[in-house]
Amino acid sequence: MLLSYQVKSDHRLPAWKPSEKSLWKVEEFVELDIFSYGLNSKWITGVEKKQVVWSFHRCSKEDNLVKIGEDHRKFSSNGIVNLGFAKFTSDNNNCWHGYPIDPTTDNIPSGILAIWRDTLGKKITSRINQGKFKL
Amino acid sequence: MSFIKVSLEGDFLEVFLYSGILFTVDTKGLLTTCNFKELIENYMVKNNFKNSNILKKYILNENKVKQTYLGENIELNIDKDFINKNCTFNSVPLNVWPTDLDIKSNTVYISSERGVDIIPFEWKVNSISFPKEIKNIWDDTKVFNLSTGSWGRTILAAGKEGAIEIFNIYDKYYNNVINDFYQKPTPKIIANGTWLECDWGYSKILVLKNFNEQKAFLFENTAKQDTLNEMREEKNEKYEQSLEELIMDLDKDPKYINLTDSFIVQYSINNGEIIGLDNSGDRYKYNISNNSWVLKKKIHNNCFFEGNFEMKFISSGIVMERNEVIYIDKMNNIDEIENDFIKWRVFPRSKNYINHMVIVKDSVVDVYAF
Repeated sequence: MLLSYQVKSDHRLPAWKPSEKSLWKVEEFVELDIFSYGLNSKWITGVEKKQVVWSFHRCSKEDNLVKIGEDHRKFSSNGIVNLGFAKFTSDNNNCWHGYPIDPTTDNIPSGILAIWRDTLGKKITSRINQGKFKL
Repeated sequence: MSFIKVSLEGDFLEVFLYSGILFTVDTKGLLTTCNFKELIENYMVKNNFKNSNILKKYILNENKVKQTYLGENIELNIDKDFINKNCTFNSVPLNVWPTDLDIKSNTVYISSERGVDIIPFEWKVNSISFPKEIKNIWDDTKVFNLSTGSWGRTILAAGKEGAIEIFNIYDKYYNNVINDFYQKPTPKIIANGTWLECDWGYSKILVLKNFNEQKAFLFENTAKQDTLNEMREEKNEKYEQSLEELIMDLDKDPKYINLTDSFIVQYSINNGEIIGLDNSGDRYKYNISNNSWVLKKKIHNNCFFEGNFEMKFISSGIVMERNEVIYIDKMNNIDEIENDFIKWRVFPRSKNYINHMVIVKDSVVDVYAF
């Protein structure tokens, strides 16, 4: 089945609602690039129609993790949570969409973290697992 | 600042010291045990180590005494080959990265994205043996941190799902006593919010933490495990009534202790008491009966921290983490210990390792005695 990707308006201004969703802070083409990076790298969990692609964006020059979104829903006294990871799911027509996630809320499976360890390092991946990673 | 440090080579995520055994979980999700005492003794013999008595006294602390090391720093580096050749191993594949690990009453508790698993173990000569199956006692949420108490009661920091109280139905006393009762305690949320850490440690006080907030709760006293178990075995006529009272006490929600709006910048549990620090490092004990902080020790350290930091007590001082750097406050001096680490742990409930800290690093684990 052919694969397609849809940029969802509820995770982007102006339709985005701060109390309900996370917000993409990268251009739409970067969102698609982040999805492709996760898909091509086979950072996939789940089976068949319930598959999830996990991904992140790295600055190739500085070789570091880049902020891709914001969450305004949690830790109200702390203000905005910067997001560096994304989760992508598909519908019955194999049309994918995704959004930036906070790993303390959307758990990134440790099987994925074990793979990312080679790229992001043990310190970052372990802290993500413990809910202690801050971007 | 004096310390003894034993560095063990390995790709670990978790480390725990318990009665002479070193429990580790590596990045492949393999829980492994190693006879720590045997490893240290073999290393000293094979390397003709000159400070062997000091090392044994402070690192192994078989006399189980509170002590502070004041001598010259001693450091040991034990590589993977030596560990593999000189350590009795026993392992269990967890197939998951743990978020936390606790050991109580010969049972390993492991929190992870799977919830909470337990592995009861038995002692063998120089080693322990694990059962074939891991038991799951909670699978509703990912658990970031856990803390074990009496009667199998276990508190979970479950992220956005809040702090949850569950019971380990495989616990010896739960099985012997509570299982007799028709209405058993059930899991419940004891604090809403997002909680990533919980600290309970054999006391009535529970401290919950997240990135920028901490809250304290007071639990009801409960009957002593051994006492009620003996009453049951003796078929004491008051057993039924005592059991009913226990269930009622276990069922009561912990009371929130309002410690906010004070000059205390951070607090933690030490020997069952809430100990707080002000911005100059002076130590205060919280008096629960009249809701006030009482000065315990004047420090007035000029370089003390303000704001949010992690702190835990060991017998000779306070271990603190701020901005991803670990410090120790020992003899009223604050020294940096480590700035490149995965996680760290102290053992406030232990008798042998009350003065120890373990730091998991990229390819090594450092075991400190201060």
